[in-house]
Amino acid sequence: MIAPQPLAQPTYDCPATLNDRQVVDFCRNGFLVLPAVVPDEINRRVVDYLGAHHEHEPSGIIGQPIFVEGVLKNPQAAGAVRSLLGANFTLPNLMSNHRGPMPWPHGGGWHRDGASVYTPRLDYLQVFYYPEACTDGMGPTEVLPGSHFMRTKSTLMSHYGKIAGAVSTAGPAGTIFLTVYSIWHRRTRSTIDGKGRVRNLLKYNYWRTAEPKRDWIVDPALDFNTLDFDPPTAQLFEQFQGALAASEMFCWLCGLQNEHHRWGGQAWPIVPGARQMGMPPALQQNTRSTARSNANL
Amino acid sequence: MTDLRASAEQCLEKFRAGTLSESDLQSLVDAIPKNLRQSLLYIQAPSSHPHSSVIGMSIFEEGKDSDGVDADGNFLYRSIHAALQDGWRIVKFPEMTLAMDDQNTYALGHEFILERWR
Repeated sequence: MIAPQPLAQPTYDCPATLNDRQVVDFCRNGFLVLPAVVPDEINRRVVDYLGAHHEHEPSGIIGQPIFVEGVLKNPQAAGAVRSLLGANFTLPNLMSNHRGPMPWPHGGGWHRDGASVYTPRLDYLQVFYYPEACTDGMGPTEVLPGSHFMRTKSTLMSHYGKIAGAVSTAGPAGTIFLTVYSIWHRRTRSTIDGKGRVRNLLKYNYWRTAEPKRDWIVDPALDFNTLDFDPPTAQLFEQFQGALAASEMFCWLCGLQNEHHRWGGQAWPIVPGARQMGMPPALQQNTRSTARSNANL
Repeated sequence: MTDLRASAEQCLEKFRAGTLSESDLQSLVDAIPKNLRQSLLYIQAPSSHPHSSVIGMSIFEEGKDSDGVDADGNFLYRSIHAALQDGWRIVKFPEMTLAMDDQNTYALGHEFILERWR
């Protein structure tokens, strides 16, 4: 079942740009950073717009053709969205701007955004865009890889400080990063004097309209026995639980949710490189074709 | 604390020698810290072992970075054991009820809360 969409909500389709490995990595990490994918001219126009619109939700920018074409339909970013949400995903209908003051010595607290749910489903993506370069001193957003599988409440995270494995999203102008909505994140402290300027960070959501299926760039030679599904922050989980969660999300994206089972023990995907029990049959098609190729050598 | 112990031992020696005076006792009283305030150290660890390594840290103590890091951005303590060696004491051990659902991951590791008074 797919979430009903508003009447006349615009959708978009484009070529998928992620391959199997990249989709698995997105499931493991819960985010994907695409540095400098928006051209400078568009970044400048967006900064000008935001300089004249200081509201927290400058959704009027969604009506600007240059923004729609250059940012929302940006080939690399929309291609990644297409890979993860399938064909004819909806374009955003709400725009938020996190106008971060500089300096900002204390930083923000760790949180997940409101109304987060924990599920292997990926019905929507929360996407962020820096129209200007964001350095570490400007207080970029920091994300915790794998935390989209770590259940808690924002109100119980407020005392957290440094977390091992957290990743800064600092990057050049035009950087876009895609996230699973429930990922833990925070604004880091800003140590520079912005002299009245703020750090702009736009945030918007895309939604799925198609049932999930493996219609990104498929690598027929990829052996899913060889992939590590554990998040890079595996130490935050009981052994292999992060890999089980990531493989479940990947199978859901493939439309194989009924073939994924938590068999336990040494079943797929916890022992990369071994011939593992329990891999969904549809993913074993790759393994068989690889085995045939090797047999012909 | 060391000064207080040394003062108390001096008083004890004077008492045994029969030379203990009111001013000696007053010095001992004066050596007892006043207006102590509680500091808190949160450590999230990968296991419930009280000497475990650290995966997350925050500190609520005057003059300290609340992220629990040093000037280079490293954890102030590499392990709970290192924090104990520096005078912290554990006041709360990890919440075991979170382990009742063993198929899902809750919160950030195993959280120890430590305190010291300064």
